[in-house]
Amino acid sequence: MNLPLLDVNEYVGAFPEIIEDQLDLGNYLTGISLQFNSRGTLLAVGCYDGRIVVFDFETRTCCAKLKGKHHTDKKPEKQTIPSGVKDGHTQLVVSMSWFKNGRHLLSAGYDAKLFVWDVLESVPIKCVTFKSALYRAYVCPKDDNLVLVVPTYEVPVLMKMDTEEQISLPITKHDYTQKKKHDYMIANFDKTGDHIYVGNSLGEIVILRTKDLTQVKKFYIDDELEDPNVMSKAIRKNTYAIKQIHFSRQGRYFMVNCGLSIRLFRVEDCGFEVEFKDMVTNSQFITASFSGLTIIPDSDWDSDFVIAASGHCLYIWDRATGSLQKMLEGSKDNLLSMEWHPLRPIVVSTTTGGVAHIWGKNFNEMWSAFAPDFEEIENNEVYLEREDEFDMKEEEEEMENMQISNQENDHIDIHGFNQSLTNLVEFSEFHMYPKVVKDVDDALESYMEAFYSSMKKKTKSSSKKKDNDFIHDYSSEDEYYDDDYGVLPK
Amino acid sequence: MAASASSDMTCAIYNLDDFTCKVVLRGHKMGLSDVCWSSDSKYVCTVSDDTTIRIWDVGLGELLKTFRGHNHFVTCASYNPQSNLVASGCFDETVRLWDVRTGNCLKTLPAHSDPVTSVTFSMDGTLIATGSYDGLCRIWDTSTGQCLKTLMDDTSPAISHVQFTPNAKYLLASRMDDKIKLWDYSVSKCAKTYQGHVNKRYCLIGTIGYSEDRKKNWIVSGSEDHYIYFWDIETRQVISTTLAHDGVVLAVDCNVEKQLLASCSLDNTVKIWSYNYE
Repeated sequence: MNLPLLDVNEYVGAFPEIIEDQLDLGNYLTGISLQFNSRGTLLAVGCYDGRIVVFDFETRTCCAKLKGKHHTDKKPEKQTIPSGVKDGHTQLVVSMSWFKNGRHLLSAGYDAKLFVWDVLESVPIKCVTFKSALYRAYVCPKDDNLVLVVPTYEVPVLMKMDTEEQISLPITKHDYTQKKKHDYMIANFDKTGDHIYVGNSLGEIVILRTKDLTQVKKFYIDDELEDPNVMSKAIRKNTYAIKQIHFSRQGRYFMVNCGLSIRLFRVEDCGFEVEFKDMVTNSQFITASFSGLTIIPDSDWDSDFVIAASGHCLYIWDRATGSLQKMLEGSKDNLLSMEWHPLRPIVVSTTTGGVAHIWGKNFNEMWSAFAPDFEEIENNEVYLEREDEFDMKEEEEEMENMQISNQENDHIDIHGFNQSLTNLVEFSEFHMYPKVVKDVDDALESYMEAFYSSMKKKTKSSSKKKDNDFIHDYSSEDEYYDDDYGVLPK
Repeated sequence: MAASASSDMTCAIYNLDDFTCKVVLRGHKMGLSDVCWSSDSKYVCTVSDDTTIRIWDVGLGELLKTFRGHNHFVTCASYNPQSNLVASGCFDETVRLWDVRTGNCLKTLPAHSDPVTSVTFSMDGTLIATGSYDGLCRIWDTSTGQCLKTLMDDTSPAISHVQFTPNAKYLLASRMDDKIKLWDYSVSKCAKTYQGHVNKRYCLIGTIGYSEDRKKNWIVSGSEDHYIYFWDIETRQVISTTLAHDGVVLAVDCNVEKQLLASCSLDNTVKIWSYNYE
């Protein structure tokens, strides 16, 4: 609702520039994975020791800690938790995904466990154990019941949440001449959830239809891979190993993080668009992502920027031209993960040092908004007033007033919403209402008050009993003092 | 349930099923100015002249949090729809945003040049509107704290109360010159003016009422002539008036689900009205 009032020029093409804030992850917690919910109000941080911390991103405070029994010494929760679920992740949480209902969170860990958490109650409601460590897990954007799980060195698995029925994707693993290489695969849903994109360490992408898992398309990310000689060299050097497939917010583009670069493709015909690369250091990118929606989308609008993390630097490129826009350097620690806010020019990044930085844009104060009859101008202007500009004209004013009162007959609608805005911001019914915990200070204060009032009563009654008792608590109340005076001999 | 804040340092919670006083919240050191409910109806937030804002658990009737930081009388407060923030307006001309979970002050907005009388959130929580004695209504961005808009016209009497319409397209502003204005704030234009009641001295709180099917909409406000006035939102005509109290009717509030109206007055009473007959 604030969108119509915002200065559009500030938001179009806005990207983070400065460290705005940092999240307090607590002692010895290192964030491995980050995930915003659809509106960017909650941020889940998966940690090194298997905990998941959910932050309320508006207030930037922790609102839920998702952890198993082995993290806490306190008595077990009252809710009935399915057996075998209590432990939580025991190793690092590598990937998380929010269900469409906004209340449940899927998490995959290196301990080969897949959890579904009820964030509101902070309890796990489901746990599935796999054969090998998990690498990624995604919820289907169309169907909350469908989950795509990517184990390391195994074929990705499509799982139905209610029956826990697991279907391995119909993809053959490649035979290697070099035994030392492992073939690992990456998979992701596209934005509509109709297709699954699978990438492997050979630089090959296979597109499957989600409904019946039939193969729609198969292509190499670089044409030269068709040549077997280049292929064997590529396998040896791992130059085209796909680490990540990620889709833009509107689903028109997808990026492939492979080898030393990030390649951008169109979704409609899988045509190659741009390659992003660090020319100087030529290093690998840990993770890459698209920018969020920052303005009201028009017909062909999509994410403006591509961001990637490498070493201790964040790179922001223009999506259309491929030019490097900004490099963000924070601490000296290496980056582990980063995530762009779905609606605002904000990026959150975590480092090996255990700090989660929030990168934001420094907005200029709109001074003209404070006084509506002023406007901001770049330079001083010489203003020549007209001859009668500041003369009083009563008749005209009356006319104007008449016009105003006529204008007030317009129909007004106080319930309907602007359609374009409701499309953008899906109002979810679910809210993470905070549970307010009693302050220690206030508890002490109210306790002291109760204590003093009881003291007062006690001393009053006792003073009546013992008239000659001179040991009094003078610090208490005046009333008592008056009582005392009545007793003392003059 | 209904909550009433009183200048006798207490806040009373009434059960509307049997019209009994459920609990009286005591703890403030000076009189209260405003009370607001969290969206899940579990907590109320009260503000007081003792410069504190307090959060209470309604079920237990106990004090949970005290927000300290204002350095003058706190005049108004409002929960955001997500209920994780409380905005408070103060006599010291600032508006502060508080994190409900921790009690930390997140932002201080240098909002006005006179005491702030009213603060409110839009339905999605992205906008804050404030009204003040300096005659201005300002609209702020919640996340950045930027001022987005200032509403004023030629005469600028003190604003006693501001409220967004349910779709947050318009802003209802009660003013202390016997007028209530409905602003189309996106174009800074006054869409409707409602008058007929008396409002010169006190900060009266008007509100928007509507039938359950949302077809009939009206503006309700108390008046200093002891009546409650109802206006049709479209035609700006007074639909009905009711002699409600023996004193100035300070505030009214509507419950859409039960079609109830609560009013409080300087005659030390709170009255609950059923407005089905309209």
